[in-house]
Amino acid sequence: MIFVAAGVSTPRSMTPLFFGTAEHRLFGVFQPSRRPAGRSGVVLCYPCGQEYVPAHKAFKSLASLLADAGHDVLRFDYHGTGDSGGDLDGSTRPSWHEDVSMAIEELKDTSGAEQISLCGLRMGAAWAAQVAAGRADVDRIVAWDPVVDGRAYLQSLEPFATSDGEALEGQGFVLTPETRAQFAAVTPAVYARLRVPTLIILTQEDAAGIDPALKAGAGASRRLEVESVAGPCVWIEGELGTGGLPVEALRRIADWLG
Amino acid sequence: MSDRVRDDVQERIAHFGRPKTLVGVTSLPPASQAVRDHAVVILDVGVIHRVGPNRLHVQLARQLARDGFVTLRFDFSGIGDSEPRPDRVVQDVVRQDISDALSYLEASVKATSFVLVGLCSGANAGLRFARLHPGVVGAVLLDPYWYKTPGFYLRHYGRRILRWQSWRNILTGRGGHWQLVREALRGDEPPAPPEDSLVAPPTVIPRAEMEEGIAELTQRGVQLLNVFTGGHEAYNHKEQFWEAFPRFRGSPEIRVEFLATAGHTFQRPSDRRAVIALIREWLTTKRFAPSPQAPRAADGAGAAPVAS
Repeated sequence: MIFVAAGVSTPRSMTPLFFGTAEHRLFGVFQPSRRPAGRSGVVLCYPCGQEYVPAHKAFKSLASLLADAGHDVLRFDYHGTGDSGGDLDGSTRPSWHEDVSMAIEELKDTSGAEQISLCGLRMGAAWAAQVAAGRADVDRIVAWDPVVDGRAYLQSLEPFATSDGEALEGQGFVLTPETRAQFAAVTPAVYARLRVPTLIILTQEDAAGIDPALKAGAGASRRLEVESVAGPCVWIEGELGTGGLPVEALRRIADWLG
Repeated sequence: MSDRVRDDVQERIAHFGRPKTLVGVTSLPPASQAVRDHAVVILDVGVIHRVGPNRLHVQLARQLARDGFVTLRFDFSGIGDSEPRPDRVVQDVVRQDISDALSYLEASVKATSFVLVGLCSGANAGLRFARLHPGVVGAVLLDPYWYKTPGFYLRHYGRRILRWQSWRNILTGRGGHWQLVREALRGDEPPAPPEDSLVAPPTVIPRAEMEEGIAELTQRGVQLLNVFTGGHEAYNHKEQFWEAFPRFRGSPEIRVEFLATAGHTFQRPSDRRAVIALIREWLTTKRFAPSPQAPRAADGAGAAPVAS
């Protein structure tokens, strides 16, 4: 349920809000459809760590595009990240999957939609896929530059993470053994086994290096499409401040979700 | 509707501006905590939205709320969740945004005096705004724009003169040595700031403006906590503040700290803990001059902001 007093509409009807429980408060931004017939909902799942801040602007733009196309949209911060409650300082258990589920319930409650689409970037794509596998109310998934090899992803983080005692930390979250285990569990099978229509959209320069198992899965399943589009990788901090948006990727995602 | 985060700190959405295009989060002290006189406003850093680099602003805001400070973090127009201002004739959007933030706190929690906190471009914006608003009684300037002094160059080269790599780079033209020499010969005057400051806060403050601003603020009794990190490209010693402006040495309104091992974005948790502890200590022990504005209407336990 949206706490009405916690959010006030802007002229474009974007509503920042808190949802969840007092002990597990999540921050989100609800963007209602700009078409009267809009009864479909899309939950946007941010990437985590250092990739979260650079991606914020693109997520805001994507939410707006989807609202134009007739979707109610909710983008939200995982517990311990962004403006949500908690700290991922090692004292709090990460709750990525529970948070995605909470956001789905929040959007269903707010929009009245019975089926929800998920769009996740990087590790957000993996969590979206993992949550979708256990629910019957997710009808489509967009996995944007998804992490397909959690172990390789962890290795890529380590040069940028800082050592603070025994923990590795980056962008305010600690790579605890539990977090590492959750990341390491991400494999191409997370996407290949999905039973709902799935678009994997790639803007990475090394898209050709995406695990062949993923593309094999695409060939094996009609439900899985893999596309490469041009554009900046919005989750890379070095591209911050350039003012560029991944226009082609955003348009393709909006078109595919209909 | 308030939103408990931890230790009874309440957070609520702040939606304000004229029109309401600005988005932020207000952290409110626990009900058991007496609310302090000064509200704290945390400013954006460049294009990073209000959570701050490495979530520094969130952690700082919640800690200050536990200490009794109503603390607002918000996005400048066109940054994060705030919409661009529809009225493009506004000459200085950042100034208007900060003014709107203070007006919001005046209306919602009856705040009459303010401490601004900003990192990098946020510090520069805070310094400039502090001169314009009589309600600002303090500013925390984290890595503000600064000026390379002769001492900076001596320290910079002193560390490198015995290193073989430095000599190799000088002889081969690699590295930034020759650029530093050219800057030193030019007298360290920064280039003129860009004309269009509609979205981006200032990244350069000319030396004369900085000196004039500090003089004006200290004369007004505004307290300044200047914190520099080892990641500042133009600052490498605690004394460099006074080297640049010796006339302010001994000024009771100015405190300078140099966190030599901290990075510019406080990436390490220990660096964030250190700077947050420093700001807390300064805010809770410093005696701020009373704001010339009307006294706070109601101090007491638990802020009760009105919905906006």
